[in-house]
Amino acid sequence: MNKRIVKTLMIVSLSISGLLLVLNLQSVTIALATIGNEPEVNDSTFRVMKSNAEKELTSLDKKLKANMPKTNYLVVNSTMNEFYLYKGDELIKKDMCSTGSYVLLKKSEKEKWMFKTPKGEFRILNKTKDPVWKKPDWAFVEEGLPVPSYNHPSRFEYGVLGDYSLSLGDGYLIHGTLFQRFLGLPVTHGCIRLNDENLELVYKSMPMGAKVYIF
Amino acid sequence: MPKFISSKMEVFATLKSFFQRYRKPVIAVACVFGVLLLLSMFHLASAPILKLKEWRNQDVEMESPEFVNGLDSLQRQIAFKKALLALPKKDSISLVLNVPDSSLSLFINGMSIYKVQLAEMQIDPLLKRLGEREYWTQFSKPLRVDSSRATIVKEPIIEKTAPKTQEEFLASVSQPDSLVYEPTHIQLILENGLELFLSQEENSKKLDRRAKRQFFDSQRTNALSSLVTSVFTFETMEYRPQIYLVAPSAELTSIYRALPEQPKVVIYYN
Repeated sequence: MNKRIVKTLMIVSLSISGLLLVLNLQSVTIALATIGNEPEVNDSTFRVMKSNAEKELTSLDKKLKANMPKTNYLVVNSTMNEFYLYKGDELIKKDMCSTGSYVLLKKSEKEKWMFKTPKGEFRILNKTKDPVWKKPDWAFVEEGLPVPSYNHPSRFEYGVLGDYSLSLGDGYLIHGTLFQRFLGLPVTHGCIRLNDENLELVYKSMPMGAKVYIF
Repeated sequence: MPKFISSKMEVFATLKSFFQRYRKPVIAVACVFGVLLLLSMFHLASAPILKLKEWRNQDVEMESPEFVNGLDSLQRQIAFKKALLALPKKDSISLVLNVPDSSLSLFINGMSIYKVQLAEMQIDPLLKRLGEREYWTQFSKPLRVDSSRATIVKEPIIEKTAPKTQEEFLASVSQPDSLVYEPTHIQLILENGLELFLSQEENSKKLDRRAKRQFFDSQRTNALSSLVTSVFTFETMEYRPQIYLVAPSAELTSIYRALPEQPKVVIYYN
């Protein structure tokens, strides 16, 4: 009886170890294939090598830090509709904004507009107080209105962009909005909308040429 | 005698008579399955060795350090900083995984612009046990993403036909709703065969659990089909070391949508 139990136990333990080996086959192979250490060197050589490595690391850190903008900069998260205003490593302000709606407006196969905020690194190219919005063609097409001539008075709207605007180029602006309840939502035509208080802060703390990172 | 014992014995008797009747074919089938099992085991076991060999055979840059015992931590930091400095300078957004920091960041022109704290990380055993030379060949430079798949779209485009009249426009005006995040699971396959999985932290809803199961089931099916193909075609099976990262859905969505189609990835671990 005892022999039978021992035999059964042996078969069971062998089966379990076989199964474990199969299940962890790759881990076992990896462990066996990666045995071995890097070569050892004597103490003085090691100290010299360590000091050289530390120097190289410091130099690389300096090079990386050189990429940090010298002035305040703005980061815009177009997925979460948030902005982060930085001064070096320090976060000065984080709050809601509104970015592009990703609407593809189609008038015809040839005439279509995509309302998305571009991603990448930009600079403040121009700063305006009391900006006037010159409505582009899509603003009329979107509302089912006929498109007027280039300088028609109906193209000019006063007060809709808030007290300030900062230009990023290609018609993209950071500006205010009359529809503050939509802040935090993707509702714009590609521009970045802020509330009045944040717009003033950004306008006053970002000099011309300051960097804006949009992702 | 209880019924289940009698039925069990009947089954055993039927099996015994079947085996006696078709002994040779049964042994032949068992042998075929045995050989297939052994071949599968061989392919599974040899795959990581072949990957390691491939990485070992890659040329190390001229300016690589001398690899000695005890300097691994410093040398890995140097490799990381070099890889960061080698990232593209042309407005391209890149992904940086810093394991000691438990963070995943977006980099643009050498600047970290967004950092996500990871809730969970799992690193492949091959990567954990990698020697310094192989580490340097793989991770001292940015790695290109060769292909990717995800449960979310890259750009959530909404197509709208322009209204013909102002009345039509007024009738179509709708209030924008709050932001909706779909279950987020992302797989990035890097140029050296490494697979990076970014998976959302939230899994309390049934919909979330189903999306996760479907995403990873298809991954497992692909791995199995690759093993079966390698067994039947006598070709080597590619081992793909995996890194599994968990973070909140909204933050992973932000990261995925920020990256270009074929972004560069920098990985650092100790």
